[in-house]
Amino acid sequence: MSQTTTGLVVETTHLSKTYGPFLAVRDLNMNIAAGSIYGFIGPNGAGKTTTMRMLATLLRPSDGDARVGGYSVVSNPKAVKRQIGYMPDFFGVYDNMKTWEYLDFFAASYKVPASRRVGMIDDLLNLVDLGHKKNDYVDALSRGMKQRLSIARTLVSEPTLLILDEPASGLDPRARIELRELLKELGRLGKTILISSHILSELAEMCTHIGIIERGVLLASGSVQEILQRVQPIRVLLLRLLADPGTAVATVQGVAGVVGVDVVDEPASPIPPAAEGAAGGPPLSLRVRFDGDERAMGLLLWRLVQVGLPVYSFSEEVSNLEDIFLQVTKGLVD
Amino acid sequence: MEINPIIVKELRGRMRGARATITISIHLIAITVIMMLTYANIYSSQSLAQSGTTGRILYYVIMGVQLLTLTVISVTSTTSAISSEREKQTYDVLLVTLLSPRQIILGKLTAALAYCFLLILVAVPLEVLTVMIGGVGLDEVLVGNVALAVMSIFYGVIGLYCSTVFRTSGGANGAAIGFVIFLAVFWPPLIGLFSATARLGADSDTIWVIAWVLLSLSPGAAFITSFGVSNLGRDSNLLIAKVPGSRDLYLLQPWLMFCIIALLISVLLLNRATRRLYPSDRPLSQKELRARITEQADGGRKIAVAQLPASSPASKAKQLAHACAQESFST
Repeated sequence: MSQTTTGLVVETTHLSKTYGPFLAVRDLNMNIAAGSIYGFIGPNGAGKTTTMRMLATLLRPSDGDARVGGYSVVSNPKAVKRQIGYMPDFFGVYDNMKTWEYLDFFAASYKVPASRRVGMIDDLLNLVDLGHKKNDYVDALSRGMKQRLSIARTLVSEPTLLILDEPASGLDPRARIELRELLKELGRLGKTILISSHILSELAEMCTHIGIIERGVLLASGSVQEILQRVQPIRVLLLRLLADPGTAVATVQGVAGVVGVDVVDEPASPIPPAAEGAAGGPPLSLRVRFDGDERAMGLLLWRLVQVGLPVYSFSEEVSNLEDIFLQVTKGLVD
Repeated sequence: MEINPIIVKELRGRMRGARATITISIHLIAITVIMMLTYANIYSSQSLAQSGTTGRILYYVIMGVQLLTLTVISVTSTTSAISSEREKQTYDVLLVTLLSPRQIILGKLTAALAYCFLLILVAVPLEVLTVMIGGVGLDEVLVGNVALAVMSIFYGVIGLYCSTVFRTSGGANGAAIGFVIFLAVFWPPLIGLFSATARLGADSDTIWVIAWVLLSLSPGAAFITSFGVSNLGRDSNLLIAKVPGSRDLYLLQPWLMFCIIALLISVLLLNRATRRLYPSDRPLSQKELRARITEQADGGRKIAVAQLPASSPASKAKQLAHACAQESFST
């Protein structure tokens, strides 16, 4: 049972790991709330795996501490082990072992009673869509299936936290999609997941929170929106309307919150000839830098409509994880 | 109580398929063929056939083959126990389970030894046959098998220890087999040389004792000496031997001495292997915990650790562990 009272599954305080003179993880303070899917992002060698191995009690921190489910990885590693399901970045295979035997072995290793194991193994195999492979040998499964089986293994102890280190590396596109759907499903089931990757598109769809680490330093940590607002306080709005540039730019600049306006040269937009010239003017695209919240954005749109400028597209340029990563690590990535 | 899952897993892997059956069959066939050839040789020699030692000779042949087979199998069956987990990259997932390092080590060893004991067991009917032929007693058969079992444990533990020291199975294999060959082939002549040289100018009984003990480290030499000495006269039996050439010096038979020394070394090596397996799982010692807390306090971080009482040293480690578990940091 988890000991935490703060709603945090993971709390690290000044967590550090050195290998001789090399500082792999430096003074890391990271919190992961219960139920979140936390994407741990960073280039190769940034310290992701080292941090995860410390959380999994496989490495002892050189300094600081980390709590998983309220238990310290330094003073109570055994209790931490009960809280976690750990999947390393490479799936090792035991020879001569069937799929159900693989799960049975790990369930027994987590002291799950034999009477409960049979039903649990069936449930887990069905969850990862490997029910039909129950009696197949593990080493005969495809890589994607092995990864899914490995995720099933992490669930045998009914952990609070899943630590998944590069789970999608080496998978083909179909296996990646299947894995992503499985992780989303686990997220819906309320599992807290810490997942690392240096392939950002993998994480973009499923993560509720992210942490960006580079050279052992946690550069940013929080919800995707929080970090986005932190790294990009100025929103970028894309407007398409029918107006002459002078009128449109003057109107937009007169609205509170607008920092700057650029006219965008775009190929001819597919505006119906009937609409063109009926009101306003020729099709026009504007890129508006805007410092305001959703309400202020609504007021901008309302103002344009009020002055009689036909707006046929109004959207915010959404930054993705790659943009965030590049912003946060600007100047640090080699 | 549930069986150690490591034993179940290892035995499944080891016994599944034809390999285990084939090995046991080859082992038995080899013993039987060598036994039959020896028997034919004995009967071609009139003097040997009439000496009443046919059973004893056959028994020595069986034990010799068993000694060779089990030396190879016991040491090689454990050299990849831990290193193969590293090579297959299953090591980490094994270590994050609730299995203790001791369970992992003992599970690996038990599964390997179960197979070695099976090899010893399947040859017992042939050994009993030699008793029926005559010239060897059941007690000698029992002693021989106990010594083989202890040798399997000893070599199995050496293999296992090497497996925790070396990162690859190849390295562990090379080191363990090298050590066993040294013990079997080079150690007895070295001890012989030592005793011959040392006896020139020292108390011969002391040198005998030292040489006797050192020789007992090599199972082959210990077995040969034991069976030889026990048949020298009424002064010696299977447990105690009057040292040949000495006036009144009685010592444990080398096989028994080997068993005691081998079991002691095995316990020590198992302990070392367990500690090597997973240093991170070891709870911090009192000294380490105190150093950690001091370091963190020196770092300017507020640590909610109460003043620990200077007295009651017995409970100090527990209090420190509890304090460390309860400590909270703020930046």
